[in-house]
Amino acid sequence: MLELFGAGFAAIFSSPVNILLIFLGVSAGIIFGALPGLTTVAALSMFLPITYGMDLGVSLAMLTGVYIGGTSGGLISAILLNIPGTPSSIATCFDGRPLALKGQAGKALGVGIFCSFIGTMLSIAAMVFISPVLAALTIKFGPWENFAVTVFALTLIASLVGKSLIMGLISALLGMMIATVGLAPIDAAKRYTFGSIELTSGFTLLPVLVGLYAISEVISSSSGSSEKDTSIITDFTIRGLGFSFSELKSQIVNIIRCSLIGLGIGILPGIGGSTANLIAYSVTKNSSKYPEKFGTGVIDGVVASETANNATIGGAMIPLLTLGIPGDGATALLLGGFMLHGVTPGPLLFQTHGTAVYMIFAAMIFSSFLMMLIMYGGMKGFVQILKIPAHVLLPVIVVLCIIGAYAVNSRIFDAWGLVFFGVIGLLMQKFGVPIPPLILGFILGEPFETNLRRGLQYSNGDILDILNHPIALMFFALLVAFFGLTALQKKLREKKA
Amino acid sequence: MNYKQEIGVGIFFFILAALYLAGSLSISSFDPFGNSTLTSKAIPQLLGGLMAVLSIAHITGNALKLKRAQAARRTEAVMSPRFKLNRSGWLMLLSVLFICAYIFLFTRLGFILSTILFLLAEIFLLIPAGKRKRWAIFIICFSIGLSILLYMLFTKLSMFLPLGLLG
Repeated sequence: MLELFGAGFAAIFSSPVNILLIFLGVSAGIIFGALPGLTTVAALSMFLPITYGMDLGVSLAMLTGVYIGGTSGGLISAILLNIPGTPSSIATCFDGRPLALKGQAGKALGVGIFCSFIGTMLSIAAMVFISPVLAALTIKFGPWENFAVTVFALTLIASLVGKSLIMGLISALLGMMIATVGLAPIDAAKRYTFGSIELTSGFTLLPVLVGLYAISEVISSSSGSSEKDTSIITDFTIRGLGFSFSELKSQIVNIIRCSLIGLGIGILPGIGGSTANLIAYSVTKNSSKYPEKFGTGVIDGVVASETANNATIGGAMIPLLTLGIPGDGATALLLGGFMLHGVTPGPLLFQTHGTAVYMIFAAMIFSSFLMMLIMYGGMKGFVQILKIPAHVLLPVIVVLCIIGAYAVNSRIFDAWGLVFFGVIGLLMQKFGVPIPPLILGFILGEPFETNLRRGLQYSNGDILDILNHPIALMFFALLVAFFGLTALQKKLREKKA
Repeated sequence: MNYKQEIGVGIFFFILAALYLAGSLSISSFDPFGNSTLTSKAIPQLLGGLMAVLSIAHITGNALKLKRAQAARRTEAVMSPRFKLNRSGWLMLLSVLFICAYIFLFTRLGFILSTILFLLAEIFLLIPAGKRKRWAIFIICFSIGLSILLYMLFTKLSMFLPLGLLG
């Protein structure tokens, strides 16, 4: 492993262009994270086409830089404007803003940056150790095991995202239906093509993803509802790291606990940093000796939120690299980055593109350090960028997204697909239908069908053959246990009420 | 909670499921391995069927809640917001139309010309009316400069972008 790591670092530092690209990715990620209304997903959508002509390792190194920068950048506007730059930093406002109003904005920013770094590094460490082991295990999976994993991931995301389980499941089914357009797996029968040649190859991942996430976001932001008032930016100075050693020492348990929360939530498909920061904040508050002080400006709240949201990064990368299942919207775009280079992540990735994988690991470590340095050193500059008007940024994002969609196959059909899915995403947001299950349904629709059909072929049409596969049964048992626990929790809550 | 809207969403998904199921009938079913496996029709029919069942469950659940809310005279729960296209709505609609026009012209006029036109139109649309005059020259230079810069950057990255009229 160490050898591969060395090769990964060597590949990054072999060319100053690589370092420059990662620097650019992290900086752009921080800017997009800091700008309210624009998220990490928009930044990744913008950078995807730029990576088109690069090597797989370099492009993913840059994209993970954007991911890390984007997740961390949200704290800037949360503390200085009281508007979370991304949903991952909602809880940072709770104590970050009161600290800023008390004249301690420098301390809040310093703590936030440092904890973002620690959270990312701990989750990367977990990812580096867990991913190869998991990949070695999943490589032994047959069609029934893969089928069970897809059912598990689909049902889990549908039940965890959004207010209604039924709506989550409908959204996942819609994604799977969209995935059936084109040629069927195994026998290549035409489905829902309506005589169109373009539809024969189905919808590619990039227009679906970028349309649902970025274009819908841009169209919705163009209504002017996300205009921010930059006149309330608080003045600040960061001395040293922004906090004392004793303050850091008092937060060690909090940091470890919130890293584990973030990591765990990151691994579960579809939840991500937006939930992790809120859960970590509430757990920290409930286990604190002074819960009444939360919300008035205690660093514990900033530590909890920023450690947990960044810890989801490594967590979300684990299912992406080992199973090809993205943990959240950002990792779904990273999956697009792999596919743009003709590579499908999964257990074989460690064998077929081992160097690229370790280059990604090395780049993530390097990006975390860069993120900390850039944010500490360039905070005044980022505050100026917060003043860039949305009417300049939004059209540029649209242009870059359309280039990205067009670049996949050099066909204008994909650009139309982008608008189509953008409008669908907008309508889904308006009517409260969760988007993540649709994305996962679209990604897992094909493996779901292929593995089910293959499993039935191997067993001569006997579905009960699945009972002879303990790993597949384990996933179904986990699913039943999860639903049982959720129902029990709901009943207990109702009883309490 | 707006139960009427939820029922509307449920009905939409039910119709979609019905159309999807109807479309699945025209899929050719060929089983190269005899009758022991699933054909390409089976999964769409399973998905369509499941969606129909779930949307009926969604409609029924919300209809019952609506009935209970009406019985309790909670009129606020059944009130449906009137659809009104305000300035934000117009901006969104025009943005979608501009994007569609941009894609339509993308291969016809070429990347550079269509991008200049799109950036000009979209920025002028989104910028507050009072600032339009003051920023006009900057917006024109920005649109032209950025379009040329992006074309040069992406062709350097070996990505083919249409030149259209300039080609």
